[in-house]
Amino acid sequence: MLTEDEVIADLARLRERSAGIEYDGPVPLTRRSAAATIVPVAAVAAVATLGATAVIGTDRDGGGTTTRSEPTASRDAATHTGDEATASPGQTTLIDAEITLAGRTIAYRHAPGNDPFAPGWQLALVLGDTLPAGATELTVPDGSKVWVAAAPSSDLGKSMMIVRSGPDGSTGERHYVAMASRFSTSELEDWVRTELDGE
Amino acid sequence: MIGRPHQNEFEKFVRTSSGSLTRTAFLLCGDHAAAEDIVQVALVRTARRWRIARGNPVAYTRRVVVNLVHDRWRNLARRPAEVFVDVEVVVPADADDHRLERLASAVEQLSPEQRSAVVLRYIEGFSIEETAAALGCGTGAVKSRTHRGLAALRTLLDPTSSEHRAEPVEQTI
Repeated sequence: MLTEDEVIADLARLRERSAGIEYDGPVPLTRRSAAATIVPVAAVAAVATLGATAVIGTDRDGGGTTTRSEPTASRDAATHTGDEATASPGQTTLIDAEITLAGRTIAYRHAPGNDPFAPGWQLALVLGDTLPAGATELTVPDGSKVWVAAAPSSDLGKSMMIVRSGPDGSTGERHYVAMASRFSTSELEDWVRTELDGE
Repeated sequence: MIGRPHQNEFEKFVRTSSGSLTRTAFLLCGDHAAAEDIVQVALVRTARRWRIARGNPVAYTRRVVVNLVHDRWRNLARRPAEVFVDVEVVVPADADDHRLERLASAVEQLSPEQRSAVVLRYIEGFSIEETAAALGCGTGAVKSRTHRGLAALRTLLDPTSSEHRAEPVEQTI
């Protein structure tokens, strides 16, 4: 019969199995790099397609009567089923969508296939406590600021929309968080002015 | 993250302690690659809380490692069992190796609480206080978990031992 001491002695010998194991992974960056940190999209940002809006006429600013189709609210960030919406002849279909970025929900509309944050570009970037150089500041109707800047790398898109996060629950820190976009910087600035200011 | 004044301090900590933390993670989870991943995540979390962790960064990070290993066990327990095909079977060279193989396998069968306490206390050789700090419990809990863990190991390794230990209980009326 095994005694407790024998088991303890054998357990100590199991330690030899870890001999020679070293940490070969990277040393975490101790300061924020110039490049943004990509975080899981689901944690910070999500795009939701809310439904399609059929607009009589050619554009929504042309005074045409707007009639909503059956709202097919969906919180699935991974699908853009609204892009497949079709319009009757003479109608332009716009898709209602919204982004939740750093706890802030931004509603907007876009033409099919013309969503700045379309799948493939749904990247949430944590930029740290400073804005990137050259960021353009825009004020949206609720008084809050939105910034547009070039994406930190072409792999991440062409531009990005930046908001300031609320204070972190444990540290109280606030960070700039961005959503990568496939629009150019000027296109995204126009989009923020017309789509967000206009809402 | 970390301010510039503490940058060297953190990097020195990683250089000097990441190896032992990886070995601890390996002994707990039994998988070298997973151990490295766990330590990497733990180091990032330590860096984020360096102001708190720098008092005793090894103990802080070890606690994070243990928590991450517990998370991994829970996730693995929820997954359907995998069936391995064409596994290369390592045959222990001698009876001594065979005994250690059986012991390692028995340790894996312990409950998560007993397993982490036994690994840290007897395989790693930490003191009761160090084990308690890593597990985030009191020293009394460490003693009871290791005591029960050792008893379970003895039963697993020698099923008859529990019968040997069974003694008649005197009833007092």
